[in-house]
Amino acid sequence: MSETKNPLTDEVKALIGMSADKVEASPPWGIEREGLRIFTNAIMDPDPRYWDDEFAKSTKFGGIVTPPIYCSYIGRKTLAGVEDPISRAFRENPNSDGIGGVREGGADRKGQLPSLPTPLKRILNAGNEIEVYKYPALGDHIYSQAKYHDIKGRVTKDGTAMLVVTTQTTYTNQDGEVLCILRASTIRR
Amino acid sequence: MVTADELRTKKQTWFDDVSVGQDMPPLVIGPLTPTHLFRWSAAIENWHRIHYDQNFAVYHDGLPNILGQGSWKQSILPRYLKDLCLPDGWPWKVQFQHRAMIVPGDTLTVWAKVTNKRVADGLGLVEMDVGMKLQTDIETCPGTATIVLPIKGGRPIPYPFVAPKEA
Amino acid sequence: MGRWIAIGKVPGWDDLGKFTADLKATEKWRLDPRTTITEVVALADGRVLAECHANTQAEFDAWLQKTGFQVDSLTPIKHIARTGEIWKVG
Repeated sequence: MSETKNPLTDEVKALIGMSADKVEASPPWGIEREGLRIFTNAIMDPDPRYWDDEFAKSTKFGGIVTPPIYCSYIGRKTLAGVEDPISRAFRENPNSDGIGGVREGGADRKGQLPSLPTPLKRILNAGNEIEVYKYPALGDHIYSQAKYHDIKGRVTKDGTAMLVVTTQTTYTNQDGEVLCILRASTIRR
Repeated sequence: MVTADELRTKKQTWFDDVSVGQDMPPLVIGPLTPTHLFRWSAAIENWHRIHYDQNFAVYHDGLPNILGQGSWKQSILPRYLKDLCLPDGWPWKVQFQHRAMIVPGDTLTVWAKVTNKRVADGLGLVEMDVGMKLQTDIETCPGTATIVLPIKGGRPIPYPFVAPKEA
Repeated sequence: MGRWIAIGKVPGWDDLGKFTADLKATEKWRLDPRTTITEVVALADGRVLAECHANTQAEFDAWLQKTGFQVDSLTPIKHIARTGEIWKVG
């Protein structure tokens, strides 16, 4: 009876530490009030640091700032001038789940890490980590860079091969200051 | 729900005043409705149908109902930590796992319990177990967090934040 | 995970007030993280249809018994059409 091999092959191992291109995550006009208003309403956070200019100026931030990891969401927006990605996705697949094929119109199509060279296709979320260093401010431009932070491989007692993959995305502003670091771990099996 | 004025005038919680085993004030959100979920999907342009299309969620993905977004939960935890730290503390880091699903009708209680406190590089670090429980007491988001609270008479917490050397 | 439809009667569920009291709160229809009473239809002739999504039929049986559901039939769903969308369930 053949033993299940550890899926952490040399090919997979070679990706550990690999970074994708640093790309601009914010739209060309940077962080602005309307997007911030919509977002803070959606997380139901009425903090005046996000909208009250006079009060925000009196804080250590010196002006309006955004919620801690706001910058990690803005790269998903579909920029103007592209073919409507929702119409295209459903034209190509009438049973589209709404995300497959839709993201291509967004800013986050660039800066992708290479796919993992593994036959393990089932993906389960294994956890998230967030580190916050600075809040984005109005007018900031946000840059993101993804990296394979770590990859571990194992075979469970019942012979199931699995990889635990941690990707890290570092968000910086136009001055190169680190705003936040997000790590997402997934189990591939 | 907390108000803008409460966040504007919030009194500082000092490092000196928290103790191991202390429960921090919770944040209660809900009951969630399909409209809340729809608003979040629209705000971040996430068109995944499981969050707003009940037939798709139920019959295609085999879910009990449309689901609350993990990306939303991911913003609520740092928001909660931010509130705990106001005005001059810093919500440094949090790590968590997604567990139980959340669906419309659920009320979430975001909570934190102090597990350790220590001074590193002149900064007051408060380590906590954190999570987001449903009204049934089921945990949806177990995790841990470290916030930085100012020490009375101590050095100001730097902004932008700089991780303490010994941490 | 499976889906079943039970058809039968539940005393009192022709009254909207009792129907609401027994089915509105989340804990009335979301029995545990994997068992959900996704739909209950009260028909004008007094019959009730209830749809359950669960790991096994046993979870649905337990709810039917608890609610006093007088079951005429209990059947897995095969496929369904909902406002123009077709779903293969079985």
